[in-house]
Amino acid sequence: MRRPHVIPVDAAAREHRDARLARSGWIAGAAVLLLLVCVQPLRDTDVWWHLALGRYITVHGIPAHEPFSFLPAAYPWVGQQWLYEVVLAGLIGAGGPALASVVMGTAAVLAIVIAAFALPRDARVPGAWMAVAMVLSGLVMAQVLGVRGQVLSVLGLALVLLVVRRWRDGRNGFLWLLPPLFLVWANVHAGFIAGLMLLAATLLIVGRGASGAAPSRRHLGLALLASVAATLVNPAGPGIYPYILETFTNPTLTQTIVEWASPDFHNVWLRLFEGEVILLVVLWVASGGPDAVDAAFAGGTLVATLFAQRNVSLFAVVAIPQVALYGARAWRMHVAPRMSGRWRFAPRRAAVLTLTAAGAVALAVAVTLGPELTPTAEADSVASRYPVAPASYVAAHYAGQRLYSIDTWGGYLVYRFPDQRVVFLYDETAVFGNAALQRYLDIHLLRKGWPQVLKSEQIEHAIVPLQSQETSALHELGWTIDCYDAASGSVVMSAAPASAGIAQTALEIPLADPTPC
Amino acid sequence: MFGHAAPVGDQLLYSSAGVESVRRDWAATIRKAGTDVVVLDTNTPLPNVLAQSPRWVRVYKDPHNVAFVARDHLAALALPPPPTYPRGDPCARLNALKTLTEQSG
Repeated sequence: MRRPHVIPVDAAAREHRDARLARSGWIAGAAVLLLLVCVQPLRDTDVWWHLALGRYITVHGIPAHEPFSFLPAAYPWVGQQWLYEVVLAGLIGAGGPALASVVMGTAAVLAIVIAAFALPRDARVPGAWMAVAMVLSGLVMAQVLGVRGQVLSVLGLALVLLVVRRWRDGRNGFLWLLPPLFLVWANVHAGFIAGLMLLAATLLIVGRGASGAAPSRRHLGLALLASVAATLVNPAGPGIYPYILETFTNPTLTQTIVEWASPDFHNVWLRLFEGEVILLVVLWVASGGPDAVDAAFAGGTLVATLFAQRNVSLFAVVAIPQVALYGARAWRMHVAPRMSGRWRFAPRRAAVLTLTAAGAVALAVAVTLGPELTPTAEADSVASRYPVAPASYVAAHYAGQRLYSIDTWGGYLVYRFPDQRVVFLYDETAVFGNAALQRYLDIHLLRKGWPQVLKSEQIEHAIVPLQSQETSALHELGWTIDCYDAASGSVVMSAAPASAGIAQTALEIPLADPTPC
Repeated sequence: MFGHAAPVGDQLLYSSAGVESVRRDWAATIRKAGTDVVVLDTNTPLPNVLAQSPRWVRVYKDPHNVAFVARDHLAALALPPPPTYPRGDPCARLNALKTLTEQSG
């Protein structure tokens, strides 16, 4: 007969504390590691017009009409992200792009950590599985993170997951965090819709016919109603909903902007997403099947991602607690019973190991990220992605004159020329209307009649990537290159004077001895 | 280049795609290849650029295809006159359609 395994009370408490420390080490290590992918330079091209708008709002208030382009906007301006824009302008004003990168990167990591804790109270998920889920989802969503409002939607969604989980554990008080959350969320990013949908799905699925200790559906219903009401407190009021619907369903947007398109599974990054989906399904099956709410959350966000790949961050954040929970269950059911004791560490040793590893990771991350966040490194990064020098050249030589540029640089040019209305189009395309977007696409895609658009819009200067089709086409039309910026690979081009003949331009684009911008 | 793309290698595929999408060096690519006539689908980027260029002359057009020749090579090529087709021939119908298209602008 085996002797019972007896542990003294204080020894048990010590073991419990060590186990918690080990778990914290896993989570802290994963969180710090994720800073590497979440703290990003100003990579998202939208950041510039948001920044320009934040500065504009700080001085003039929220505009009623589009404030930067020379195009007549088809629709009134909906300042839905005004709060994000003002905060962004404040951050960059206070600490430059590095501060914005660190704050938004930290917000993304915080979202991942919060989502990792959205587990049933009695689940006993080991820190290792939480760390695996965090790192995997962090990698999956990294491509759509950075300095952008979408990060705040990821954070909002993680908070909703946590509140729903605590509510399902019987803690109704958590629900009253939702209305203030949605009040802020509706003024920073349109992704609050996803949060409302998760709450509505929960209300429909959970607790039907249950009694006794079941979470209160009445409380959840009231919190949902209060949250919807809170979202109406924004500059557009109820008009925010048609605005979001129009943006989400605009066919031109979904067909021309990569992030709004369905995923291209030949892309390595989206292979990772594909892998996480498959892993989650395998873990569901291996652990005895998913909870109905979990299945609905994962299924809903998966469908949203298949419609528009920018929603991959929603799927990834929803998947964090599920990969951790079902992974740990599957491990306990199928792998742990076959493992020999030599693979099991004593709690004290596990705590020391994980905390030491987390410290080492933190040091490595600091050493890696530090040099990338200096003002010089940030300036170099911006100059390599955006036409910094060409914009200065235009400011010096063609001040106040209309410019053509690709839409992804339009936001940067808006930032550089906020008062002159010289920019054609930037990535807040919904406000310009479909006709304006089509006119831009006439030039960008070199459709029939593209030179007539330039003529009718009185555009005689352009800042374009050297390798772009626009550069070749404008050269063929007789435009000349004023200067070349090696850092961003862009050129400033100008229409030839009416007296100049086409024969004056060379057959190939001349860059043997380019004038630097 | 023709449809069986795999054997030609990546480099030629990229060059061909670069010409069709009017990337930098498209002109050098077709010149190096000794191209006499550029034949492409209508309403694709390169024909829409060549149609605006004084350096190129359109020598053929139907509702689906268009052909251009570099102006300085036009005389050397000695192209035949545009063909004529008997009534009822599909090509004659295409030509009639072309006339209609051009009349409607």
